[in-house]
Amino acid sequence: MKKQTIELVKLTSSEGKTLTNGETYSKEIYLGCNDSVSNWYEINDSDVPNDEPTEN
Amino acid sequence: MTEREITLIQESSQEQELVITREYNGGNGYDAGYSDGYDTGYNNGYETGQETGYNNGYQQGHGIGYSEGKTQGYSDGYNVGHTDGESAGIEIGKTAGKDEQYNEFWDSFQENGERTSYPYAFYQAFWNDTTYNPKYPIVIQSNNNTTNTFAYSTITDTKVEIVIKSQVQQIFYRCYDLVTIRKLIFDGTVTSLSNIFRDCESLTNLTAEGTIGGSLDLSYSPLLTHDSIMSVITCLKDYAGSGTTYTLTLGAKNLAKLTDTEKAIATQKGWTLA
Repeated sequence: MKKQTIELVKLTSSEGKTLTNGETYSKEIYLGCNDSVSNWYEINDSDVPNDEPTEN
Repeated sequence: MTEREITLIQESSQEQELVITREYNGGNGYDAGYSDGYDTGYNNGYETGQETGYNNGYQQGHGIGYSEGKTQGYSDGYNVGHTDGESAGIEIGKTAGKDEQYNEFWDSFQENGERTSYPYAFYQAFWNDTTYNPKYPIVIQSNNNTTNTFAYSTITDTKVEIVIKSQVQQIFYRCYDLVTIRKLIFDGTVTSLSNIFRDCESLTNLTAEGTIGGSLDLSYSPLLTHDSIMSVITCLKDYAGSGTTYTLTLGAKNLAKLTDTEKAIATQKGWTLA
């Protein structure tokens, strides 16, 4: 028998806010084992960029 | 026929001579004989004639009908067979010609399966499920950052496997109609997969194989099946302990399809889910 405890760290943005690490934008985040809460912060929803890729 | 005996008695000077003359005329005997003979002859002749006539007529008619039928049947059979054969021959010829043209084009376009550079190869709406019918797997192994391979195409199915062996971007950019990616094989050394599924709003079925080495965004594809998402998670490179963090962006709808245990598979490999 093997017992494993797995930690799943979930971050959820406040109302009207979006979480970002500067590259990714989302209302909820599940941190990878190498990631840190300190890498993420909230911005206003209106400040989320419309990242249309440059068409080549 | 009646018989009348006339007795003539001639008196002569010398002696009496008795002359008996029997006279026959068209009396009852003649009539009766004629009548009977006629009836019998007529009846016999009729029956014989009827049978003879029937037999002769049947034989002659049968012979003529058989002969004419045989001739007509041959003619009709030939005509129908010729027409059917011609139609079938045309269809076989068309198929053969089509196969030859198909092979000629795709052997050239995909360099007999050796082509490894596909920038803009299936770009724009000209490429649809009819025109896009590749013969060989699509292997992307260019030294340059291959881009827009299928961008703006209207295909619904990739049909063949696609192998990504080098940096790519916007491979399926705005493939609004794309529903199924049959098999997408990732090389673990590839870390740049920028916007490859951007605006693939119909994407539902995705089978991933190999190792995914760089951040991936599937949030524009909210119709993805649970199995498709797990297919991707299974392929995520294990960065645990490396200090490296990559992000698998699924969007709220796709995240909701996963259990916490399934999410943990990704996070334990060093992938942040968004």
